[in-house]
Amino acid sequence: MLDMDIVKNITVTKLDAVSRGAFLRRRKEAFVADEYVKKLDIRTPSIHQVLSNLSGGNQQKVVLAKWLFSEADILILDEPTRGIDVGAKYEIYCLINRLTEQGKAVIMISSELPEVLGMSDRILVMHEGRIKGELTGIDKTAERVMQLAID
Amino acid sequence: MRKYINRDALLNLMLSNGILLVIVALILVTGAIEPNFLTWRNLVNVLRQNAVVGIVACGMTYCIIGGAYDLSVGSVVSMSGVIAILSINAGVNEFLAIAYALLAGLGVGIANGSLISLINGRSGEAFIVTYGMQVVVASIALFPSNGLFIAGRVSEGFFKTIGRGYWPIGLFLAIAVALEIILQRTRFGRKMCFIGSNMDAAKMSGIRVKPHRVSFYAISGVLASFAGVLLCSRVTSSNPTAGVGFEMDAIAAVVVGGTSTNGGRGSIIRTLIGAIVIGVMGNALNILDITAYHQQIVKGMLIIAAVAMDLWNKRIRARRMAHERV
Repeated sequence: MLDMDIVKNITVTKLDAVSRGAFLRRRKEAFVADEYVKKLDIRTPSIHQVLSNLSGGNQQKVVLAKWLFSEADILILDEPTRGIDVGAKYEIYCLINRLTEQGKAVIMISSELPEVLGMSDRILVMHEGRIKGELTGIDKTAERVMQLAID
Repeated sequence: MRKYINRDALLNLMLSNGILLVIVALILVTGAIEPNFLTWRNLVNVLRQNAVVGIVACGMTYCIIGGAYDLSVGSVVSMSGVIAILSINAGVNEFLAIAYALLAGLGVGIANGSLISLINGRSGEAFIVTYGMQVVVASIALFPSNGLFIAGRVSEGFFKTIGRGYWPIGLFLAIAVALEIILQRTRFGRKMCFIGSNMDAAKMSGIRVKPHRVSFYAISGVLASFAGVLLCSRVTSSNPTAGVGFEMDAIAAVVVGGTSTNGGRGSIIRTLIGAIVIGVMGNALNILDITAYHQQIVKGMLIIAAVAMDLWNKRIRARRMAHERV
């Protein structure tokens, strides 16, 4: 939600965790937001900054933060690095790697081949809505991916 | 540099409270011309007269923050009054009569919300659905009495009390404060803002959009019917067309108060101020001997100015954000 601030965007996925009864605990919310801003190195002057004021990469990090806060075991990331600069891309990759180290499963959807090859344990190649094949280990090469895609 | 900042702050103040400043000026001018205007008695009168629309406007604010209008409230005001008076005349206990009226309002609200949720309606569809409901409910208000006034056989008691004296004002303020706290401090209020700001994103963030939308309309319906009860209580009779036009007056109060019609942002206290502003302005124009016909021109322009101010405000803020972008 671009017209809302970082705090509200992060806590929305699990409001129960930051409220007592029906009432929100603002200090707790701010604490949570602060934690994620530090953890993901979101560059913002304040946790009360509205999302549309942040750069694309930092917006993406807020979205990631919000789903990390939900403590889901499986994350589906649809083009997590689209439209952001190289530096921010690298940071997102590091974050995803840290998540998998913690034992979370990540399903990443991407149309950038180097990203897919570099990040994945398993690659499912899709073409026109169908899964064309699965690649693991030494099969994960650009040639194999393209071969499956155009078959 | 310093001068620049000050000018900015002043501009900001004027933009976010422009309408209020105009009204304060109007009040001062009127007060200077006519000393009776700024008396306690007159101001209490104005507040009492506007408490009914104010309560309707509080419910409307929830709907607007949640993303859509509720045009049915005017008819609900009429209908609930008819129900309350008919029940009392039929010998029903006065508390039960009020409960019937509120239940009818709740029913209309739930019907509105369910229909809109069912078709997954946006503000356009909600506009039409609640307008349809307005027409239906208007008819329900008319047929029990063949469209006539009904005098209530109301004895002294609770029902007769709540529409008089300081009661409507106190109830209006209490409702406004309670709704404001719910809006700003609870999970429910937060979710309302998210739904109004971006319904699809709210859904994807795990908010159960449909039941929440039903509840916005339910709250609006109950408040409108309560306003209808207050209106009847004051005159101990019911007029099946008493609430005609209330929905627009309520929207005017919300907009003049400064709640964005785009949804997602707003406040009940602003609506409270909006309702008072419109009331005080009407009263001031009365005292200045401006006829009711001319008053409508001023009122209409005020509403348009409020919307223009909101847009202008947003544009300037967006421009400033672009500068600050990190």
